[in-house]
Amino acid sequence: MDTTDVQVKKALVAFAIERALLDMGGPVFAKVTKTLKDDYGCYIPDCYDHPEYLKRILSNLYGNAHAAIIDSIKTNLQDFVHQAPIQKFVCALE
Amino acid sequence: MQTYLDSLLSKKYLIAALAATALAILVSNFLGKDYAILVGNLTYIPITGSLMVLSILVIARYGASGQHGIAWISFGGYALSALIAEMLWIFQELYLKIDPYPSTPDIFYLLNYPFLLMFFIAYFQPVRSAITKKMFAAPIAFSAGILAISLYFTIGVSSGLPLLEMALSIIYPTLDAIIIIPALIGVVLFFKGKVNFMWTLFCFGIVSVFAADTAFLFTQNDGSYYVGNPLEILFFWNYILLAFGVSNHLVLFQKQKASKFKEME
Repeated sequence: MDTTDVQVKKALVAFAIERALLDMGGPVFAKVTKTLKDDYGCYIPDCYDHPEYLKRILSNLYGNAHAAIIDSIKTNLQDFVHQAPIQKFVCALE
Repeated sequence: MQTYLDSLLSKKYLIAALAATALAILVSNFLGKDYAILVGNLTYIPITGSLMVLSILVIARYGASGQHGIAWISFGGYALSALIAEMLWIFQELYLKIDPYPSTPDIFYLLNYPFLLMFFIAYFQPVRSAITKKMFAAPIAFSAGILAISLYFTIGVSSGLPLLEMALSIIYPTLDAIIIIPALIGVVLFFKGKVNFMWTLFCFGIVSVFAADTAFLFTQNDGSYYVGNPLEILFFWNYILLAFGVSNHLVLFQKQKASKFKEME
């Protein structure tokens, strides 16, 4: 997989995460972004390589309901799950 | 560490607010019924006013963005109708010197319920797939149990009263019982999450108003009710718990400084 392909997949994953969080509300997206930056020094597209960061933040914030937000991200990516890297990302979130 | 300290401080102020309100009501009752009526009525002004201000702040924070934005606008509707209801009650009781129950404030008290229900539905909307049928069982059982107890007390003393008062004796506890269900589901749904503190406070607030409504209807129907009686503390606690819940949510989702956004760019 070349660098451009990785960048495209990162953008795709970032878009799916942003859409799910913005569906909840702008401040939710801002909070997750800030926690990613403060705790891990990374941004939303970096969740492609570290889905566990996102999972932990959502779990800390929303407890049991974090699974539903992850479902929403998976739904946003459902057209691309046949691609191995996206499937790997989705599996890591579960 | 900072979050833990914030949480402790937030609880310290919450306990202080609950204790101060209870103390003010109990002392005013000790001084006499007239004092209790005056203090009881006037205490609603800062409490419902604070809830309204916090609601405006949280609406300003979320705007109309996403489902939670809609939820907080609905909550703002609740805070506004509660404020109007309390102000109308105070105006009728202290200025016009008439018995405010049942009258115009009840329209606004009843309006509280659809707004609160809209808040719950909109807040749950993005995480609805995590809500299972099993989650409803315990809250419905709890709600039905306390509704039965409440109706036993309120209907028992309402025979012979005008139709409107009899109807309100059934409507208030029933609506309280309905809104307790999503509040309890919220506590289970967000268990272990930071937003759970707000949901726990909301849940205690709604349980508090349920007990307060039952006590109000019981004492109103047997003619012993007056604003500022010790049972009124539960009504104040409802607003205080909701206000601290909103405040906790505001702190949790506080706005980032502009410089941090620039740094991200």
